[in-house]
Amino acid sequence: MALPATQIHVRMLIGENAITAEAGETLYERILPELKAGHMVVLDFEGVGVIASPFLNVAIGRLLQDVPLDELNRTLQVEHVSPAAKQLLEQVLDNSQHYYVDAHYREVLDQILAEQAEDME
Amino acid sequence: MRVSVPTINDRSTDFDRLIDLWNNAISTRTDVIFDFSECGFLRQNAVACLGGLARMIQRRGKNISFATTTMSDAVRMNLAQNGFLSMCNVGTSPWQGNSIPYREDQTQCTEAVVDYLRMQWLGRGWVSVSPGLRDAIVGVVWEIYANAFEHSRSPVGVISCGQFYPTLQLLKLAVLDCGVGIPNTVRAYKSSWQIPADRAVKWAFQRGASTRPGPGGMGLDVLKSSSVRRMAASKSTATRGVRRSHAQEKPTKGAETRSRGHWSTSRSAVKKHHISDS
Repeated sequence: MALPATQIHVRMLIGENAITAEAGETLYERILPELKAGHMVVLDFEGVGVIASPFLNVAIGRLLQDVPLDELNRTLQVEHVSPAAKQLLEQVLDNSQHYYVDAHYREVLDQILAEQAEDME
Repeated sequence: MRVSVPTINDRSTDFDRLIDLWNNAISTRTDVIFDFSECGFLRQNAVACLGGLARMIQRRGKNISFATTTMSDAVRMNLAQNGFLSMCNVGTSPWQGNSIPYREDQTQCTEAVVDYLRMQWLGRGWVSVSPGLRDAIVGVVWEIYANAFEHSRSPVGVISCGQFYPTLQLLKLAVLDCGVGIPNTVRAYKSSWQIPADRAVKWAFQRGASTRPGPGGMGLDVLKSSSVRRMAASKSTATRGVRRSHAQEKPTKGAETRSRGHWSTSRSAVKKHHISDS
């Protein structure tokens, strides 16, 4: 049985440029209840120009705090994004997945600092 | 105090000259006159830095002036065209040429910066780029501004300046803040003042490395990644510079490190060819 779908016109919600965390928060607050209600969500980015990672981190990356990635891939779709923006979104999701799921991720990042400390001893 | 401004291009050694200029002038106890007798040309990085330096000196209660009679015609024309002299209340109004206007953003004006990048940098017909790729590049560069406003604690905001070099077919943009520098931001976050500057910068450029809670830390990684370059490589090459941090450190045992320079610049260069995002 197909899930009911909610279409969100991103430009109408946050304007022409999707770049700030604040704008991402607005979209996040719109998306999450729909996903929690079991709806599919379609984000239509028609008319949106610049898209940047601070926006995507909050609007979509943060969804992984509540929604597993495989479920998010099934229930959240994006339309009218450029290939570059789609690539950025994939990077954001990958990064967010590491943040929420991989307990050692940040330890790995810190290794580069520890390596130098060992060199100096 | 009279401060001599040398010829400054944008090679690594020129950034060292900028640090020397900065350190020579910033600690002045008197008003400063910038003398351009020894200056053949100033590239966009130097113009941005000169603006930041002037504002920082003014913040310390000293007056600054520019000895325009010591400027060569080339220097004077460049500084007039890009609006630097006008911003400093000297000379004529700027005009359209090969300069990308000098700009100071004391506070974060997101839409204004996006318009500047779109219209004044990429939208002047120097590069043929599809709207999708243009917006992708603008998004990447905008993150430099966002990072600077969020992390740098720059008392004079963010300063930008650029130049199109038609003979070289290069388009360059410099974005500067006069803040604490990436290394000190990382050290403060990690509560460890012994972290060497190069390691701190490497940490910051890793995807996911963020001093804020929540998923993030994408901006610098996106900037250095080749993803946009691959998008643009269908017919030619787009190259982007890497953000430079010039907080040159002399770690001292058990003591707070001191910076010889507390600013950083970024630059992006896009070759003028048709670029598509197919």
